[in-house]
Amino acid sequence: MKSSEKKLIEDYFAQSISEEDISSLNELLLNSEEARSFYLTYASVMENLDESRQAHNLYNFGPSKATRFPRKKAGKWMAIAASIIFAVVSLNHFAFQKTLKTDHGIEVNSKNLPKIKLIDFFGLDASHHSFTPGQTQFEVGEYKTSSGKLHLRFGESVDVIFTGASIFEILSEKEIFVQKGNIRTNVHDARGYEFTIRTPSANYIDWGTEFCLIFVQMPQTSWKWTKVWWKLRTVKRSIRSVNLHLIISHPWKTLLSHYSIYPVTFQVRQATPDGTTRLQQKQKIQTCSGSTLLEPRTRMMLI
Amino acid sequence: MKSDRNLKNTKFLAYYTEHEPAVRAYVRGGLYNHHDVADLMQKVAIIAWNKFDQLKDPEENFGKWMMVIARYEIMSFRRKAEKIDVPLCDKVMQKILDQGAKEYDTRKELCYALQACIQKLKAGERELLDVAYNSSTSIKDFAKKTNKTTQSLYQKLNRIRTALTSCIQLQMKTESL
Repeated sequence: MKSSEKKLIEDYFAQSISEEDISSLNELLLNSEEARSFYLTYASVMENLDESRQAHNLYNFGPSKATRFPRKKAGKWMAIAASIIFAVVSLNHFAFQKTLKTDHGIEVNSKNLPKIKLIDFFGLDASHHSFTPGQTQFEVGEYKTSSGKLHLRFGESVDVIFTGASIFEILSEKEIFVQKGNIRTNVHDARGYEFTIRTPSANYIDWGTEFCLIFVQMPQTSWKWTKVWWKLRTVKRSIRSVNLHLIISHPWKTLLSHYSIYPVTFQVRQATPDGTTRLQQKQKIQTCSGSTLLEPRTRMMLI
Repeated sequence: MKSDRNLKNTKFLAYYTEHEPAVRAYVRGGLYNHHDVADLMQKVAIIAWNKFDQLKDPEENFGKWMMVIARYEIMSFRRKAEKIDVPLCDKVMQKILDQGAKEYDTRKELCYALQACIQKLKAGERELLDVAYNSSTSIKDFAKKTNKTTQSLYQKLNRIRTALTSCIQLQMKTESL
């Protein structure tokens, strides 16, 4: 195959193909089995790499980041400066460390005051607080929003998006208490694993997948139960990700959803001896994909 | 009754887990916009689940059967979609889907070939893939860090995918000889 023909397929999948090129591509794919085979393989490559993004490191792209960006050797003056800063910080730490109590009576040590950044908001109504994009000062305590979207980043690797009316408390860089609201989290890398969402009825620990929870107490309905399986997916004989399967039964039909999550530690969620996991009854749970604030994409909603 | 149902669940999930990646890749080839893949796969999974009882010899036929469902859903999607979302004409798409079904068995093993081909890339290329698919660093930030334009990095990514595709095809051809 000529490289110009490969380029047509490349542009098509990058969604940057011109109208004239579309005609050429149609012509090419209609007449060439080899081109169709290349097209199908290209589609598989795109999909497998995308799947890698969802499953976190499904494929090994090479040396670890630590070796890829070597630090420059620090000079003598840097070491002195670092020592001075360390001394000042340590003094501050021991002199002023204290325990704070949040509005829900949860104790938080002041040394754990969270590093949180406000990434963005959209149509936000939060009359009790003023928010500014880029803001990094967040006190431990309760926050209320009446409507709109609020996108926060906890630490450097957990994105949390609230939609609509919500009441939440920031507990630490890795912990949040949500009394009411629609929250969506996305843990980008290992630094954010174990990000915990506490609610009045349960704690949810995120091990690297993206999920949504809508905390609404549901009235008693005739919904049956929700069963969750996990299955190991192997690539080159090593476990790289877990496919989470949800089967939802209710009186008129059964639904199935699946998505990939990072390995096995998922069992921290209420695992039962038969290898299944039960999610909380009477709560609405959404799984979702995609991570942009303005284009949230929902795969499925269940009880 | 309940144990029959549990057995059905377990069997279905085992087959589904095994075949889902290859069917998903097939669906990707049938759609222009990658955002539609998850939604369409959802429909395919639900239909497969509801009709699973009707499938004879799932051990042998599950993947190809799911592919037939996917094909029907792709064509149904195309009929309802706006023209801009289906740039390839129906005749071409039929041929692509036919060939995809024919090559299904070889494509099931593609992930192994992909892993091998990734290892053959240059260090800089693997690093860019890592930024694009594994890390929390955005391409924009990476461009700033490396003094390159975002556009040039996206173009490089396209070329890497093309190189990977060529490598996989070669590898699969070699293996089939």
